[in-house]
Amino acid sequence: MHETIELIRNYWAGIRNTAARISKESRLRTYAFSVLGLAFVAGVYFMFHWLLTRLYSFEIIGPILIEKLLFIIFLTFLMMLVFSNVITAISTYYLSNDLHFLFSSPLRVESIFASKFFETVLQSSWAVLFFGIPVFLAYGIILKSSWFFYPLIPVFLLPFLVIPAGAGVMLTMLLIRVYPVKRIKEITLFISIALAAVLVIYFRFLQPERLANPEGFSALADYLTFLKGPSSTYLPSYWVSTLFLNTIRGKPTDMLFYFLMLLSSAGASYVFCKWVAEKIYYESWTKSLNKVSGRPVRFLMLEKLLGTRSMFNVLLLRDLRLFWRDVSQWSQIFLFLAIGVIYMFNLKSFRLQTSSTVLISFINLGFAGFVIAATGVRFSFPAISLEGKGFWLLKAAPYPMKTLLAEKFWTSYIPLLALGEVLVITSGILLKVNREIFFTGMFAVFLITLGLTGLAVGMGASYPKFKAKNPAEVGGSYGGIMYMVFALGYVGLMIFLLDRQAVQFLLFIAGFKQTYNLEAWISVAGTLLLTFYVTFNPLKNGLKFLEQYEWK
Amino acid sequence: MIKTINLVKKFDRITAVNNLNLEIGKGEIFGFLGPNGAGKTTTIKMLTGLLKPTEGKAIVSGFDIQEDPIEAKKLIGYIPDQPFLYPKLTGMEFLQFAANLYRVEDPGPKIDRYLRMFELIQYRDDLIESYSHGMCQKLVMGACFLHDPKVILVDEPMVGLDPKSIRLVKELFRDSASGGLTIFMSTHTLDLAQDICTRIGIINNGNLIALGTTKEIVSMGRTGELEDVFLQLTKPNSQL
Repeated sequence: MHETIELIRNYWAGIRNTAARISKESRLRTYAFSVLGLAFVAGVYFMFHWLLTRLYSFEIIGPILIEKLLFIIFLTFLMMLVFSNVITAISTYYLSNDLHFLFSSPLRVESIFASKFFETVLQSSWAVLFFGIPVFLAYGIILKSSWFFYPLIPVFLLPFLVIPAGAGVMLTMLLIRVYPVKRIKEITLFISIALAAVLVIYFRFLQPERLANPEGFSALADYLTFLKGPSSTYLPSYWVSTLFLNTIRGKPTDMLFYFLMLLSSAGASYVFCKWVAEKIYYESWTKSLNKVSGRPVRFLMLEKLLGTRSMFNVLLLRDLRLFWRDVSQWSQIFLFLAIGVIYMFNLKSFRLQTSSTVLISFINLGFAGFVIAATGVRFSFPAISLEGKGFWLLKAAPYPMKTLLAEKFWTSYIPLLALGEVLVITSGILLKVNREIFFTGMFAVFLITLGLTGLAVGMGASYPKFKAKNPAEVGGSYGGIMYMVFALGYVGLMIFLLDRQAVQFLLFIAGFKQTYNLEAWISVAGTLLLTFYVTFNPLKNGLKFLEQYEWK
Repeated sequence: MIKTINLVKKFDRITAVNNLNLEIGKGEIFGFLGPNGAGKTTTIKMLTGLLKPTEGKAIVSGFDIQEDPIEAKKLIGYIPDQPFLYPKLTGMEFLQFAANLYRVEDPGPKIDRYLRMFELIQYRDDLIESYSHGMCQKLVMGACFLHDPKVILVDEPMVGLDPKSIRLVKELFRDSASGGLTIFMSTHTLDLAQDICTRIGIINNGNLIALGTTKEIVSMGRTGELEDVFLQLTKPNSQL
C-alpha cells in the first residue's frame, strides 16, 4: 500500500508540475482554455436544462421520459468507458516510459498495477466527468432534489468509474498476451475513429434541430416512451441511474441498496482485475517489449513516378509513405467522410426550409469553408509538427526551409482543393443552381482553399509541436485553436465580400456578361487581396520562425 | 576546416558556451571532452547550424554556418547523440532519403556498402520502429557518410553500439581522417578519445580549459592516463 501511495504521489507531482509549467509559460493560454472549458460546461448544462424542462412538461409520461434518458446516458457512458479504458491502459500499462524504471526497481507488481490503475481511471474518465457533471446538475435542479444530492454525485460516480476500468484493463492485458501491443493500439485507434464517424453521422441523422418544434419533440418523446428497457437491471449503468433518481427523490433505503451494489461490484472488478494482473501483467509487459518486425507496404508505382528529380518529390514520397503507414493519420479520413455526409444532409435540410437559391448557395459556401478549415486543422496545420523529433535531419541538411514549407503547402492545397470543389460541385448539382452561382462557388472555393492552406501550413510552422504524439494533439493546441479562429473569420469575410456584386464581375471576366460596375470590381479585388494576405503572410511568418528555430 | 571565433551561446541567463576559440585542421580527429552540461552538445549544434550563436562565428570548410548555411551544410555530416529517425520508414528508405537530401548521385552502391558494413543489410526492409538504439545509431552513421562530407560532427558516437561496432567505427574514423576528413567528436568515453583523437579540447562550465595534442594533454597528469587529467581539470577549483 505504501508503495502504491508513493507511486500515485509521484504521478500527481508530475501532473502538478506540468500544469504549473503551462500556466507559467502562457497565462493567456491558460485563461483561454479555462474560459472555453467553462463555456462548454455551461453550454451542456443549459442544453440539458432546456431538454429536461421540455420532456418533464409532458403530462403523466414526463418523469418517465427523463428517467429513461438518464438510463441511456449512463449506458452510453458505460460503453464508452470500457473502450476508453482499453485505449488508456495500452499506454499506461504497456507503453509508458516509466515502466522500465518501475519494473527494474524492487517494487511489487501489485503496486505497479495499482498505481497504473489509478492513472488509467483518471485519464479515461475525466471526459465523462466533464460532460456528466453539468448533466447531473441539470437533473438535480429540474427534479428539485434536496441539497445532499450534489455532494453525493462524485461519491456515486467513483465506483461506477472503477467497474469499466477493471473490465478495460483486464481486456487489455488479455489482448496483449495474444497480440503485439502496437497492433492492438492501431486496431483500437482505428475502431475508435470509425465509431466516432458512425456516431457523428447517426447523431446528425437523428435531426436534433427537429426538437426545436413541438412535433419533432413529440417524436423524441414517443421514441423514449416505446424504448423497451434501455438498460438491463444487471448493468452498473442501471444501478447508478436508479441510485441518482432515488437520491433526488429522497428514498434512503433504495439508495443504500444500489450504492452497495455499485460499491461491491467496483470492489469485485478491481480485485478480479488485480488477480489477473498478478498472473499475466508482468509476462505480457515483457512480451510487449518485443519489436514487431514485418515488411511494410511499398509504393513501387509512386516511387517510379516521383523519382528523385527534385527535393519536392523526395519530400513528397517520404510524406506519402509516412502518412499511409501510420494508422493515426489516415484513419482520420473516416471522420472527414462523416463530415462530408453530414454536409450533404444539411444541404438537403436547408433546401427544404428555404426557397432562396442564392441564400442557400452562400450558406453552402460557408459550410464548405468550414469543412475545409476543419480538415486543415487536422491535416495541414500539423504538417510541420509531424516532422517530429526527426526534424533535426532536415534542419541540418543543405536545404532552405522554404523547400519544406512549399512541399507542405502544395501537398495540403491539392487534396483540400479537390475536397472543396467536390463539395461545391455536388451541392451545386443537388441544389440545381444556375451557372452564375455555380461558377462563383467554384471560384470562391479555389480562393478560400488557397487562403486556408496558407494559414494552416504557415501557422503550423509558427506554432510547431515536434514532441506531440499524434496530429490530434497538434490540432488541439493553442496554435490550432488560433488557426480555427482566424480561419473562420477569413471564411466569413470572404462570403461577405463575395456578394452579388462580385458575382457580376466574375461573370464579366468569364465572358458571361458584357458589363460590370465599380462595386463589383472592388468586391473581387477585396477577395483577392484578402486571400493573398491570408495565404502569404502566415507562410512568411512560418518560414521566418523555422529558419530561426533552434533545435535544443 | 573548423574554426570558431569568440563563440558564445547563452540560454536566458545561463552561458552554455563562453568565448570559444578553436581551429581544427584537415584530417584531424578532435576530441571534445567535458562533464555533463559543460557545453559540448551546444557547441556541436552551433557548428551544424541547429543552434544560433549568441555571439561569435562558427566557420566550417571556409563557410560561416550562419552566413552561408546551405554551402556549409553540404560539407558537413552530423551524428546526433539521440538518433531520432522516422519510425515508419524502412532502413533502406531512410538511407535513400538521406542520400537524396544531399543530392548523392547514384547512391545505391554506397547505401549497400554501409548497410553491409554496419551489418544492417538483413534489416534494410524493416521499419525503423523495430530497430534497437544501436541499430538506429549505425543507420545514422551510414547516412552521415553517404555524401562524402569534409567534416563530421559527432556527438557521443559509441552510445548503444556493441564492441564489434565500436571497433568498426574507430577504424572508419581513422581511415576517413587519413583520407582528409576532419572529425569533431564529443564523448565521455575517455579511452576512445585517447585512442583515436589527434587533439583534445576540454570544456567545463562553457569555458575551454585545456587544448592540445592528445600527448600534450595526457602529459599534464602523472599517470599517463587521460582520465586522471580530465578528473583533475574538471573538479571544482582545479589547479593542475
